[in-house]
Amino acid sequence: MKRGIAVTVSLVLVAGLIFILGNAFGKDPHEVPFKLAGKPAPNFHIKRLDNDQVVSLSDYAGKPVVLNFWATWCGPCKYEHPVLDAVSKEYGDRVVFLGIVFEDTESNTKSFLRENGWNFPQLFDPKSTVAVDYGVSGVPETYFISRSGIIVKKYPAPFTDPEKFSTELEEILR
Amino acid sequence: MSAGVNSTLGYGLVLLGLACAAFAAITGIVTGMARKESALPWVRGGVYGFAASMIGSNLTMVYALLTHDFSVKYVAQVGSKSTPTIFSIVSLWSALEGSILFWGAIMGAYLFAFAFTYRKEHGRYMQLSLGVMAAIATFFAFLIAGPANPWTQIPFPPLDGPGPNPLLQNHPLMIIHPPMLYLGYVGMTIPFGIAAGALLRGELGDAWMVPLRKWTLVPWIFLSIGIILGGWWAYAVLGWGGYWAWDPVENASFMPWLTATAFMHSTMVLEKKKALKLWTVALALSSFVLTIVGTFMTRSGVFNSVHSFTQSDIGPTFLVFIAVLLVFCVLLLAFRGHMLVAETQLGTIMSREGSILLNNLVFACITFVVLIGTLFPIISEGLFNKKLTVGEPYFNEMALPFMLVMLFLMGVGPMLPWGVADSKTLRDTAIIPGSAGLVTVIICAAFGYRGFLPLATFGVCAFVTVVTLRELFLPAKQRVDAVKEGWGTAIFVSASRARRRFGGYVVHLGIVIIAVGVAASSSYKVHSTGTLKPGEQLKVGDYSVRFDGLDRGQEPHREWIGAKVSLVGPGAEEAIATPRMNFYERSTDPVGSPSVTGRWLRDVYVSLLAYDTVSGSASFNMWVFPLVSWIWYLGIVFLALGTLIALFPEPKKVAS
Repeated sequence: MKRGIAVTVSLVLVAGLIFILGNAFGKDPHEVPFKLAGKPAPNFHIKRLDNDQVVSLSDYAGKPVVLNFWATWCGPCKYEHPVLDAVSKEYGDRVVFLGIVFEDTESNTKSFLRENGWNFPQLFDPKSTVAVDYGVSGVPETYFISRSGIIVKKYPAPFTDPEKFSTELEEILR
Repeated sequence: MSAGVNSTLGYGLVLLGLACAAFAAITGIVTGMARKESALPWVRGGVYGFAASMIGSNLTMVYALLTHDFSVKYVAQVGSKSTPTIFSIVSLWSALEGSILFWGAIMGAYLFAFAFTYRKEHGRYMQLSLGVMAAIATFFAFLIAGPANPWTQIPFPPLDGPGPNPLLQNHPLMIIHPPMLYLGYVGMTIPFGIAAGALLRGELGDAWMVPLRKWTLVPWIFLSIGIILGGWWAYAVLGWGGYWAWDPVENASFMPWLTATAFMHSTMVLEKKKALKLWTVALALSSFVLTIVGTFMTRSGVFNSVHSFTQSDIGPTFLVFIAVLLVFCVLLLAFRGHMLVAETQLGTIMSREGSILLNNLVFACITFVVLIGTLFPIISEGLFNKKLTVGEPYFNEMALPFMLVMLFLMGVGPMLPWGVADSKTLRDTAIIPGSAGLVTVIICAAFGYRGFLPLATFGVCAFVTVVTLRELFLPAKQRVDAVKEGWGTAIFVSASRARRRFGGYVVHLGIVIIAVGVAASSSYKVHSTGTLKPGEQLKVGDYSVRFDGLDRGQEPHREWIGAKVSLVGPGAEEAIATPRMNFYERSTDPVGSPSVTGRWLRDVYVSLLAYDTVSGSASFNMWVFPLVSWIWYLGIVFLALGTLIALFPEPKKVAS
């Protein structure tokens, strides 16, 4: 009798443990809730790499904006490069695309851009202050900002498929 | 070699291994339960076949990695022509599929070594035990053949691959840390098989205890070294100035270590007093189950950990295995446990056996505290849909007091005799070590050291050291006095006559050293942070750190930016260091490489946080850590030395 109770209790505990562990499948444990979603996008004043002109987010008030943080030392950013290029060509007249270079050198970035070309303005963030304001945790990361200047969401990984990018974009165009 | 040959050969060997393991498992368990010992050579043959196939498949993979055969999916995933040869070999375990394949080879080697060592002994238990071990091997061979198959062929191989995970390429310690842990984890299969075999048979004779104890000690030392090396690696690479963060995967390796350590102590009670049989066997079973749970934690992607870089879909298969394993253990203990009854009653708590029982309870408490803390985030999310993290404060507050008690018991236990202690003798024995502990606390306090936990740790460590040294050298002293031997001979003779005892005490000294290193480096570290322009300096403790400018370089597999710094110590001695940030092609973040200028008494640790190439300035995180290097340099030496002494074979007794 005693043994029966012990076995039953043990098996219930085993079932509970397996249920708890199994329940965790399909959820990303690394996912940190993005606290800036729905909040006004922080303004910035940083220079463009091609003409040294200072650019602010407020210059684009009333237009949807896509901010892409990247670096030349980041392999996935390089794979993402042609995807961004293609999407910016398609949506460039309706959406503002801005690239922000993260923890990199001006000379490295300029030579990369000379070699690979770029379809939209690239800005330099020398002290990573903009990256800190936006809570960038790694590169590449892409932020989608609505017409009213609100951060709709961020995509914390490289885009490898233009269609996926377009789907995300449609949300801020609505 | 033409494309596809490696894949076909490697995968063919995996299938052969799977067949051999399944054959050995079925034959071993069925004939073992029927007590037909004549089938043993067949079981052994199956085990040998599994070992040879798995080792062969691994060697084929190493060949494919070295020859950059990108038609093999795994090579295309982790190989690269620019990766240095040593890291190409290391990439065997740098991603999920390869690491499970490597697991198979280690399991093969262990099973072969065990079956071969006892080929002429322990026939009555061997079939069942080998059968259980082969059943576990079957599961892993199935994983390699199916869900985690590294041998898939790519129809259009790429010209080059991305190379292994940058974190694994960033430090030479990564060459040995994972294999040590795997040797620890996989090795627990053997004591599990031994214990399960004994339970299935319903008896645990004295003779079968010897392999159980020895084959727990082997994975135990690998696990110990693996854990310490992991801490050392985190310290030397990650740049956050620590070596232990109670991360789920660190905890996953710590829990089986705790139960295996408890096991090692309870076996003494079993041998001397013929008690705690079932408890000891349960500890052997749980150590293995915890290694499997630990592997699940690393491999399933379910836990938030720095280590779970291998997101995978083997999780569900593993979970089914854990379920089967747990149910098997519960039923085994429930329906066979009564056959392993104690032959004597344990006496008072003030005895050697009493202190070991207490030691086992404390180990069990620490394991429970760590297990609950580790599982709590997913329990909370599963039951209450609430995302929570359990951080260091919980573990420190809950586990550290138990650890202090454990340390204290390491001194108390050896002072107590088996049976009943005479209180006067006990008082006499305790007076010198107790005074040493008190004096240590007073001296540390007089030198300005504060804090209950570190001072208590130093005091208890002094107490344990005196007890341990006395236990180590008293038999030698008696020989010096009685037989008039020299000290060297006396120590050698007394140690070789009681190898387990001597080795055990050397291990205790290793634990004391680690405890002192941990207490000193975590309680008395000095931290400083700041941004410097070239020529400027910053104080950290007694050291001045001058920034001499940025430097950069390129290696085949990475680019780096470094900060040249000069450290000037209290005695005006100077050292140069270059903390760096390494940039790997496939990494989304730079990988830091802090500089550690080590000295026996302290480490000066400088980590480059950020730099600005326009102004040439750099931001640093700096620490001075007292005694931290004792943990790895001395800790590993003492633990390994003690274990080797304990494992050293006794001379065979010749019947007269």
